[in-house]
Amino acid sequence: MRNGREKGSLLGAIRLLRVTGWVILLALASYLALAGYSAVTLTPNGTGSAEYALLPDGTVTILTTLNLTNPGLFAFTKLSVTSQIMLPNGTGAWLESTSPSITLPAQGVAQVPLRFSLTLSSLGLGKALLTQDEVLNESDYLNGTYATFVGFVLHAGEHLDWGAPFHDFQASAGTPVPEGNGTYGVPVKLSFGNDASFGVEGTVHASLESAGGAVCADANFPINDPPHSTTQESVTLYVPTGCSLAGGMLASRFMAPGFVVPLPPQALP
Amino acid sequence: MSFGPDPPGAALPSVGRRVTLGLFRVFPLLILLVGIPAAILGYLAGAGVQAGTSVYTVSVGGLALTALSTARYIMRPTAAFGPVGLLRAGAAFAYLWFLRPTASVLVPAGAHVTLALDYSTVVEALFVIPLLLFVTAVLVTIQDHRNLAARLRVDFPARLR
Repeated sequence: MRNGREKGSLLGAIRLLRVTGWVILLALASYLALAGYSAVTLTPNGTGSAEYALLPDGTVTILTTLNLTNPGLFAFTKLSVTSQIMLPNGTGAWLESTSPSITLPAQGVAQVPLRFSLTLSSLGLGKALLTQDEVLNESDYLNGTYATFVGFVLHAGEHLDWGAPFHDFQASAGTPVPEGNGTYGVPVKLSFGNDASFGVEGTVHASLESAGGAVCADANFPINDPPHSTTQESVTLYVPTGCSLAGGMLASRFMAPGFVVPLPPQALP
Repeated sequence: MSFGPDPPGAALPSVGRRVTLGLFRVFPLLILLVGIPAAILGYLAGAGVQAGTSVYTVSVGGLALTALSTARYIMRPTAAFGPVGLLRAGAAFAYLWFLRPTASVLVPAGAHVTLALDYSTVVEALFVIPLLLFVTAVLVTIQDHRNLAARLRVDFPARLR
């Protein structure tokens, strides 16, 4: 009798395993079909418009949002967004922003805020952006888990329009004119356009320097440029006759209470 | 293939009947294991989705599993049923093992948007199927070694007249 029960339990176990296998197979197949269908209907909506601001410490912030719509039947979990703004010459990532993890529910929408910060006084490889307008490539990478089991990476490429705060900056020194009082006057002109979406307020300091780096003469130009405005300034600097400008340069920098930004120098003949 | 008279309480189908029915089972199996996966891959390709798995892979895997399932069906009234089941479990395991590294799709979702899905975790979850098949085949082999007639009475019960 005991032997018979053992044999019966073995046959019962075989039957139970067969049924269990079919149930699991059907459940997984249904899940795969639904998840695959939902994945095909997914419609990311790209990024919203970017907002720029210049903070008092010289930091420019770029705020943008990544819009996502999930018409599918499964939620996105552990969703984090890493965005990179690429250098204009395409040599690599310049700025990077990573969002906290969020959940995008099934048949829901989500806006992922992205914030980039850059310090004007230390732009590094992006220094050209002080004086050049650019269309910057932005790459957004979404990492997360879809439908509990499916890992995913969503890559969205967008463009950011960057307006340079000192667009086409020109500093030029004219021909020296002897003044007869132990100095000679040098006419200096500055011109640039503020193509940025933020205002620029401070002082442009220009200095005529000898080949050895000694400052022969300098001047300050107060600047209060609203967005999308142009600036043209001219002044005559008086240089002592003993201070030779041969091989020197006209150096310029923008100064605000919290920061200093070097501007492109011009070599003197 | 016949093993003498039917054991008491069991009515075994003839070899010819098993072969005929086994061949009929081939068609739904081919649809399930080859046709549907190939159609899904074709649908994804038509939607612009790049799948990591090829139609060739699912065709070869599906054909192998279909052949082994048919052989197992034909061998069901015999002691070879368990060992053939072990072979089928091994083939299913190998099939999933080959599928796992290619379990990804690339979905273009806009002009500058792509979505890469990695469902290798789902394939790993599917490994429970060959595991169950393997355990079942081991139990069947043990059962048949101990008492084949007992299983045959359950799988092929004689009809009462």
